[in-house]
Amino acid sequence: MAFQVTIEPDGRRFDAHSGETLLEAARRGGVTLPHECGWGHCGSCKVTVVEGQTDLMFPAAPALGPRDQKLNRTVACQAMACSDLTIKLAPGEPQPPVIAARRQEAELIAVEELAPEIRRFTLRPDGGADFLPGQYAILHLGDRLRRAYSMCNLPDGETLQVISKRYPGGVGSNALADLRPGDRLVLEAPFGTCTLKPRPGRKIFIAGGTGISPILSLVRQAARDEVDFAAPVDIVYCARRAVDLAAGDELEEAAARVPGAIYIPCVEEETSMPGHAIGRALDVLASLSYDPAATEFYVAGPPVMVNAVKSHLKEAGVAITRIHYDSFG
Amino acid sequence: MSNDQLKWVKATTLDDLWEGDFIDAEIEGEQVIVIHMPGGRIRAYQGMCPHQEILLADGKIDFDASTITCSAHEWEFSMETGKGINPSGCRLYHYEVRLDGDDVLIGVPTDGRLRRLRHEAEEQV
Repeated sequence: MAFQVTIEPDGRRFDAHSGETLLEAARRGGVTLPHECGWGHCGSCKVTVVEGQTDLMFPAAPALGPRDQKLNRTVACQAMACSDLTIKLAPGEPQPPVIAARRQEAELIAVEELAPEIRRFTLRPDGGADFLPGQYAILHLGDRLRRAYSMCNLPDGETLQVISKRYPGGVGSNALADLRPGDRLVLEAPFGTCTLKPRPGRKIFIAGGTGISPILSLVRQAARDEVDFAAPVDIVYCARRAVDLAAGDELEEAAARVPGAIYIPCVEEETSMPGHAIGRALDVLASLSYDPAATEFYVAGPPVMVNAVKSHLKEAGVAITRIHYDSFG
Repeated sequence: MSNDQLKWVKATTLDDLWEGDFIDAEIEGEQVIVIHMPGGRIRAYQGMCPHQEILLADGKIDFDASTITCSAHEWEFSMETGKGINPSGCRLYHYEVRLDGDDVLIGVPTDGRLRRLRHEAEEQV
């Protein structure tokens, strides 16, 4: 079943199939709507529904509040058409993404065990894979079950590699862990703006848990492109135990190829492993010296950690434009 | 800027804009946010964030902290002056405001230029 969507005031039109988001339907119809996060958090893709009915795939999308209800607005990345629609775009003109996200079918071609319950999944989307290091894909893992995973590999045109930890009771992580090579799934990619700005200056990368994924891709990019930041670069990787530092060896190896870079693994539990800091991300951050006005940060990990680091840095006087991060719910 | 270069446009009335509340409106073709601060001061600024043109009215309008924070990338502005707090070095276009009885009037410049400022802050993301 297809519905017709008309954009006011210019009258551009596209068809939307049931079960497909307005963002994807528009892209398929040759209209790139503004978008950024892909999961209903940033609000870049807000549209006003002038006429017709929509359904939200993710009703708790954080970008939507009472004001949106009053104004009959929704987020194109989560809304599906239930009738013919007339929509109006937001008045602003956000910068379009470098690579427009698209929906693709993909085959899972490999699964590797990296650490207890932490695995790397290699996916091969039909029609190729295009992304920037630091970006993420949204995997469809069941009915209305979608999860964001950052890529850990460098773009090779063909594959996306993601790292996931299976949590007991975690519906998304269990659905992913249950997949076997040869299984197929739908994904949307790429999303996110936590990409490398290869300009010189002091950098601090902080990865927590599976936040290793985008940090590994970013550091690999710096190594591959022989980026010389001409300043000290700290690459911090935090986990509970040393054994949980999945792909730590790969991050260490990439770090060794970036001039001035130091790899700092950090664990909460005491370890006899040499060279490991003890504590959490904020403890390591407190031990590093940096000029808040001249240091750039890349932060990835559990939302609790990312938010704590972000608040700490803002308090310390770091401009929000120098803190690169993603918010996954 | 002297008043004779401004066109005074009614944005709302005090009945519809209580102290501790705000509205956003399209005025003379541009998005404006009008804020009635506790204590009675009324401020009017460009309604879209200079970073990525997201509506500021969708962000956090914090009357206790006297700040406006954009929902998308957390750019934060002073409610009092429109100046960037984080990042600093940017600002919101600040409209003049005057009351005519209960009517809240916004002074829109008549020079035909876009009032919304768009900053590529020194460190663009």
